Amino acid sequence: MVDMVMEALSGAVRMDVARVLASAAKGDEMAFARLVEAHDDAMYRVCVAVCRDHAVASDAVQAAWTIAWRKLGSVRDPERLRAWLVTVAVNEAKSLLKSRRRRWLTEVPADTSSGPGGLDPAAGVGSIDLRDLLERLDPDDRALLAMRYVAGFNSTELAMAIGISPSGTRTRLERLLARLRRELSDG
Amino acid sequence: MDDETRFERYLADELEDMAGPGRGVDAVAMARAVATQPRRSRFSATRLVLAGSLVAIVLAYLAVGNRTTLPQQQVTVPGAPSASPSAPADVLPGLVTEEIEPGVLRVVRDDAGHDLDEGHPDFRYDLDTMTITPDGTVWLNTTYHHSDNENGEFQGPFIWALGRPGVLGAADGIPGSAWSLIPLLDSSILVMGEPIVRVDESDVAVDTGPPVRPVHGGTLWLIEPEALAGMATGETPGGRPEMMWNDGGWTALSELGRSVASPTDSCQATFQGVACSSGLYLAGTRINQVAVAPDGAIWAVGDFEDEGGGLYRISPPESQ
Repeated sequence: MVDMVMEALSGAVRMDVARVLASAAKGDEMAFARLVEAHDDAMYRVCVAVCRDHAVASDAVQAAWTIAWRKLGSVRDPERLRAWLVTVAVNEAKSLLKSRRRRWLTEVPADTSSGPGGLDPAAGVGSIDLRDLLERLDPDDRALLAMRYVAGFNSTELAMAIGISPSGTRTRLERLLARLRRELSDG
Repeated sequence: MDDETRFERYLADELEDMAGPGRGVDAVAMARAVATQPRRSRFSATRLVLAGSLVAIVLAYLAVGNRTTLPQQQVTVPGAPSASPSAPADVLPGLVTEEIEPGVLRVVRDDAGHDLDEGHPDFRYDLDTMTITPDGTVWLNTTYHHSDNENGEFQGPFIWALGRPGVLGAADGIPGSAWSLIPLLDSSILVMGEPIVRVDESDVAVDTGPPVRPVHGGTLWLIEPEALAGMATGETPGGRPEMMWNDGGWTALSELGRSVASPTDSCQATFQGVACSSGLYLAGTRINQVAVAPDGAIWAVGDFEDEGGGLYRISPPESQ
């Protein structure tokens, strides 16, 4: 019974998304505003993780919404909308990043012994090292991780974002994780 | 929980921390903003790119009413900071530039409404050909990038000059086949297409000049080879109808702009950068054409970051 209700609810939600998407694609500003409200945070946060600059992330997301306004009609499947929006924003962020040629100085926090980023004896790594590694990653790799772990993309969404097969995406992600673990244990 | 899962949780926590909170955007305002803004202009609160050491010089220079064309001589502005070793000692009035590598500036925009970072609507201009007239004006032939031609209102070539307002296109009489630009002695230009047009400031007119005439950099021939019967052996060009004799040999107009020589350097446009006798500049960058300015600087057009919008000035070797 509960499963039936949940299925009905999720079906209703899908219909609503499809309706909002269709309306926004036709130029309905209020429908578009609903999409902004639903997805802006994810787009922005992923961009911050990728480019490490709030101003660049903000520019990238605003540029992405401008593109979305014109090209929303090309998104056929409502379930792909989130991945499409985040991907557009990440591409804009990477493009802005390249053009600005920023070099980031990472501030090392004075106290690293507490909080979610603190030392984890079980993991055998330190917060400072992991953050440093992430900061030094190529933006493409950081984008992959951010889409996976910040935006929560599944393999299909990741595949759509980076343009390779879902299995290829999983392989690439596994290799990246293995590399991070190896560099942390070497360091 | 195994080590791998624990590591992923740790990684996820770190990435969440890096990402920070959302920005709480006003969704209605955002929707209104994108719905009402004109065709693509990239939002940028912080994009202004200036060669920092040139800021005071450029502002002071503009304040005294000088603008647009490249100066023939060095200009000294009282009280201005000295230029960095990698910036030209002479001024580039009204231009916003960024240093790409020592001795190489990329033009971002001028003060006449041309922004090379701007999309049309999505991608930067493809900068195809260029020329520099005797007065130092940099003329450009730009087009929309492939996919933008499907979205934009114009598809044909646009002819415009750095520092001068306006862009000339099909509506102004620029032929769709426009390609090479030829600098004339009076600093107007010929736009080679069908028909050939002459552009003087912003006036565009079908060219009615003689088929053989002196131009800046040589002599232009616009006659079929068959019409040259009777000329001495060695003086007739190859099979191309449009050739230029530049006191050393014939050059097909399609090759014009691929190589230039200044008093101190000789450079060639390649798909891997600008190859000069002084060295390789913009390595890995597709360069379409090069031209030499009266001050000896080499200008180049091509890509920037694997997209269009690349307009570069390479300082003469002795000033680097």
